[in-house]
Amino acid sequence: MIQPRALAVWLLAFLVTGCGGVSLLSIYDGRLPIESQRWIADSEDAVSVASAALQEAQASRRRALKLVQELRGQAKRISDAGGAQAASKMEFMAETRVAYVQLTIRQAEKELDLARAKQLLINATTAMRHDIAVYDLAPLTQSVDRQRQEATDLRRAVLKASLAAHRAAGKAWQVYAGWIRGGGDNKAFWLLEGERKVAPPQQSAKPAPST
Amino acid sequence: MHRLIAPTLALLLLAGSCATNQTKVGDPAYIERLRIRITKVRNAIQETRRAIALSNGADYLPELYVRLAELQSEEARYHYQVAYEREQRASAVLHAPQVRFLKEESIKIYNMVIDRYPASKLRPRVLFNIGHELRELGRYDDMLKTLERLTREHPDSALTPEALLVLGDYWYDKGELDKSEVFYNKIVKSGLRRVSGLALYKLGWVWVNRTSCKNALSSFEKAIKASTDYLARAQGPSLAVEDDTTRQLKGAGLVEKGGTSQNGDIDVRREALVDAMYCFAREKPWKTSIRYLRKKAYNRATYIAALERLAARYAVLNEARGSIVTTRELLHLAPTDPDRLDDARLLYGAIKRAKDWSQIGADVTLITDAMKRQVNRVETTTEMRDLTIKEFEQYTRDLVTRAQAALNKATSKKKKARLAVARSIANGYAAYLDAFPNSAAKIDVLLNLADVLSEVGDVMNAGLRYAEASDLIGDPKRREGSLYDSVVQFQKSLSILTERDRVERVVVRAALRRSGRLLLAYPLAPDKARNVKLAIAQTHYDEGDFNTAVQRLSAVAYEYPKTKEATAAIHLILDAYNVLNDYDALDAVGRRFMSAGSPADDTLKGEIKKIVAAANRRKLDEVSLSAAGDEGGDTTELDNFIKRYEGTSLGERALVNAFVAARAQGDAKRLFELGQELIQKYPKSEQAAGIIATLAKTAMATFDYDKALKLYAQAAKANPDQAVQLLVSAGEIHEQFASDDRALRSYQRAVRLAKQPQAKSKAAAKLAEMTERLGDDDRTIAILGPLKGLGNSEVLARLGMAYIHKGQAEEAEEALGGVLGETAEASEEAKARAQYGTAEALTIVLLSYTVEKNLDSIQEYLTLLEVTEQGYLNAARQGSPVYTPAALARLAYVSDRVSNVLKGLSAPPDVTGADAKAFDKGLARRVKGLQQTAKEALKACAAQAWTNKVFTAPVRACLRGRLPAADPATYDRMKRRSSVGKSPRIDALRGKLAKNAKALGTLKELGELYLNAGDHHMARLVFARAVQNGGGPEELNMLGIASFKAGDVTGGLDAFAQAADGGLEMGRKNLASALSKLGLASASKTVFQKWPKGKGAGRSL
Repeated sequence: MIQPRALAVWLLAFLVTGCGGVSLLSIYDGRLPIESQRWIADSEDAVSVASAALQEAQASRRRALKLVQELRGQAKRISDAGGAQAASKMEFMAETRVAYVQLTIRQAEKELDLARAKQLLINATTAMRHDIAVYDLAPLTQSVDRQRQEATDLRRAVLKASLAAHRAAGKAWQVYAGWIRGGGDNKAFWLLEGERKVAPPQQSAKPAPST
Repeated sequence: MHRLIAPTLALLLLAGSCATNQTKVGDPAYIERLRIRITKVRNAIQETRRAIALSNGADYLPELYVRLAELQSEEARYHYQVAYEREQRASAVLHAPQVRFLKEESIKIYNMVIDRYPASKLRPRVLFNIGHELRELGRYDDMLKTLERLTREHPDSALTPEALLVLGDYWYDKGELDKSEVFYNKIVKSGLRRVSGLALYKLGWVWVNRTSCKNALSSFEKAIKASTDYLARAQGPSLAVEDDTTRQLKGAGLVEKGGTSQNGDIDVRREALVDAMYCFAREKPWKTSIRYLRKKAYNRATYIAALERLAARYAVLNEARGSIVTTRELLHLAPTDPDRLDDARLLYGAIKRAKDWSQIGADVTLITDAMKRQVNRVETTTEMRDLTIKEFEQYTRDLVTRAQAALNKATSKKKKARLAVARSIANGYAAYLDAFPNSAAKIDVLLNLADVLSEVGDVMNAGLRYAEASDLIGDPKRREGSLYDSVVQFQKSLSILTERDRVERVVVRAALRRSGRLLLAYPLAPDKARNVKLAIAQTHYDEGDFNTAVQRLSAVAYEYPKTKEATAAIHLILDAYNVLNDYDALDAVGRRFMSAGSPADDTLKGEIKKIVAAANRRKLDEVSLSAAGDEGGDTTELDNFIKRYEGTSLGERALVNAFVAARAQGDAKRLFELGQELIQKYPKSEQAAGIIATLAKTAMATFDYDKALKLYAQAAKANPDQAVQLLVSAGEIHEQFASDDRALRSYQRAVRLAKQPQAKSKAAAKLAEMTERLGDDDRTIAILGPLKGLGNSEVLARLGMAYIHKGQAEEAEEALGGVLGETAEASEEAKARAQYGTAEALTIVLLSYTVEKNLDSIQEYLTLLEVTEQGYLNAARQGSPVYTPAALARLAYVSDRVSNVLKGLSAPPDVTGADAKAFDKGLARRVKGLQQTAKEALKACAAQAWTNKVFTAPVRACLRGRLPAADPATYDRMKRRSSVGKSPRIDALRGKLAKNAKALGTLKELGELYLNAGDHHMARLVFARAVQNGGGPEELNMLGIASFKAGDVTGGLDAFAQAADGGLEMGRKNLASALSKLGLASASKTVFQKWPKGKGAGRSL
């Protein structure tokens, strides 16, 4: 026997959220006790934190890609200076770095998805607990579980990529060190093509008149 | 129509003429203006003459004459000026006949007034005017006579000082200083007059001419004061109050509008101060000059004028220090004009002579500022500008380089003073570079400046200057040196600048990278190259660009292995990852640096090992912390740690953290696995005891008592300090499952192991409770007897009761006395037991007492009865659920027994007659009373069931309505556990309880599963926890069923009664049913009277 009140709440929730989506509750909703308000607020915080982490990851990617660009330039100069093998290893180091950085972005995106999925689930359960709306919790729970699993997988993948990048870096530096020991040009890494010549002065110097 | 054309054309012509440019009308020429004035004054003379003609005999006639004479004198003056202008102002000595004529005419008129009006008030004015005209006519002797006559005949006239001044000036001009001094002094002595200041000023010059600078300076100072005082009295420069004196002066033309004097527009305050400088430079020390002038000068113009005079004077006297202070002041304050360049030159020369470099920075700035102001003037020609710049470039460079040379020589100078001078020199160089940006000496100056800045510790700017110089230097070797110096200074700077200097740090880092890269293009020595590369890499590290820093630092490390730069670079790389909290990277990189082919030397490798170990510990902590969060399901990383570091302290730590994470997640299975793994693999772990205790608590929480018992034993072994407590806990578990022997052994072991009196006492109390429950007095005495010495009231009370049961009255008395003694600290229950035991001892005596037929014996019997009754009543008052009903029941029994004895008694033979009758009557009353007591006591005992919901064995005995012939204070014996509940659902529910041990729904379901499986003991414990955690009547009812079936009859009945109290119908029914099963049919019926019909469903017993 369906209670008329519950039916009304369910219908209302259905109409408000449309197609069964979850309507987000306000942390100031007077119908909620303080504990539930906190619960909602915590889920919102988690979304904010994940969102900020994604932004930070994107910024890191920009910086990292710039560095990778530089690394490729250095590899080219080393290659031009006769260090083809060292350059090749450095190229590989750059590639692994790019792969790692891309994965960190994906991980951050996934963490945000997870935080959002959790937020929906928490809102839905809170609404139901306080007779505000009725939802089918199963798909929401499944969504959280799926996102969680994917996030876990990505975390592992990021760790793996990080270690791979470090291995590549180790190899690259070993080969580079060998090349330097063998008389390789130790300016190639440091100086751009235009900087390799001793720069002429901007103004010719005159001897100071004695006074 | 034609008639209109002509006027129109005429109008247009007129308009056209109006529209033509007008000739510009300028001011009339000065001579023309003089001529107009002459005409005007002639008109005035004519008018005055006409007035004189019409005023014959009038009082004011003398005034008209004087006015006529003055007008003629004025006309003469205009004629003189016209002639002067006509001669192109070539000479003041002119031949102008009309001037002489007019002046002589004036003198005649004045003389006529004196002769004709000897008493006129105008007489002093007339005499003064005559003197004036005579002087202008060059008739000085006559002038002297006239003015002396004035001073003689009219000493108080306002014109007398003026006359004296003229006389004094006359003699001064003649070189007759003594005579002039006389007249000036007369003025000074006549009090404060308009010309007092002037007279003093003139006196000052008299002294100057006598080369007496001291007196001259004094006179000038007095002149300033007198002039200031006079003006102050007159409330300003104009004489506001027109008194008689003013009128006289005005009349004589000595005071005009605004109060300026006829005696030239001399500003005595200014002139005296300016002229005083001549002597000041000789008489006063130069150090006091600025202070003196600031005090004496009444305005800025005066101050500047005096300064200029003094500076010039010091220059003449070759007083370099005086020149320095005055020219500095002039360059600061004086208006911009070409004179400032002279001041600057003077300052340059003076500084050079004095070798005073103390303010060289400020001085150079003053000089260059003066130069810049001058060369920027519109009227300055290009040629002049270039010359000036060239001149002053040399001056300033000369000064500041000399200053630096002097500083370099002066090794003995105190550090603070030396730094101050060096800073000043740096400022001087900066001012030079600002003023002469295109100087040919710029490179040298920049390098000099950088050196000085380095010396004063301003390494950032030193670096910037070296870098600036390097951009200009052509010689490669020199340029390399400058670049290297800049890098060194920048490095120093970065080590000094604090976090607050953010902007500076950014600038320095960028500048260092630029200089460093430029420098690396040169064929540097390896040590320099290493240093520069490390410095570049470090800038990235400093600004938090760790990824770039790691790249650069790695390059340094691998290019220059096993050098100190490589060591520093490796440290920075590790630190960068540490700051980033990237412990995986730290571990990977650390291992790489520890492997073969690493650029690190052996010492560094040792350090890296420690760093990596610390990082791994932190990584472990991080992993553990995240494992404890809401996303902590994934403990893969922790597991990796456990495997990777097995057998090490890190492995142990990982295991402990994994254990903690499992506990946080409530994963009981994993918790036990990890706990066991830890205990097996790290038996000496400091955490072992705590881990075991946690496992045991978890086992208890999940009702896994077998595991809990094993863990308690393990824990007691691992941690002897907690063994007593653990054994007591184990004993309690055994008791719950009616494993009496095991429980006893646990308690006895606990007593044996306990070293602390308190712990021993606690264990002994549990042991005593257990032995009492078993009801085996011999065993009780055997076990508790040796523990008497503890003085524990629980032990003594129970031991005493056992002695009572065994009829050992003396031992009982001793033991119970220990509980009831004044000093004893006993619980209410122990006191109740002891009171009861004492009463029981008395009962034995009472019931074995043979009453003889004499009054004494009867009396003694009755007294014994009263004491016994009192004993039971005292015990009953303690409120014990066991001993209160037991005491009441025994009171009933004793009362009944004694009443029967008394029934058989009659008055002793020695009591006869009425006494005997009364005695018998009294005995009968006593018997009746005792019978009544027996009934009431039994009733009160039974009532405990309904009023206090207590169904202990004594209560149940009372409910039967039988008087207990023996001690009814017995305990239920739990049944042996006959079945052990096991099922996957039970395991699942226990797993849930690992996460939340208080979940009511889970507890309820688990309890029912146990009950259905016939595991009443376990069900009893589960429902007991359910009731503790908020369970209601239904849970109480279930507890009652489980307890009753497990043999805890009292507990079962109590639970049913509470369920009935809670309104559960099944509770009421089950209570009645249970009582009925116990043979208490009457009590069973009473239940339905005592509790109204309840509601709700529930399980039936």
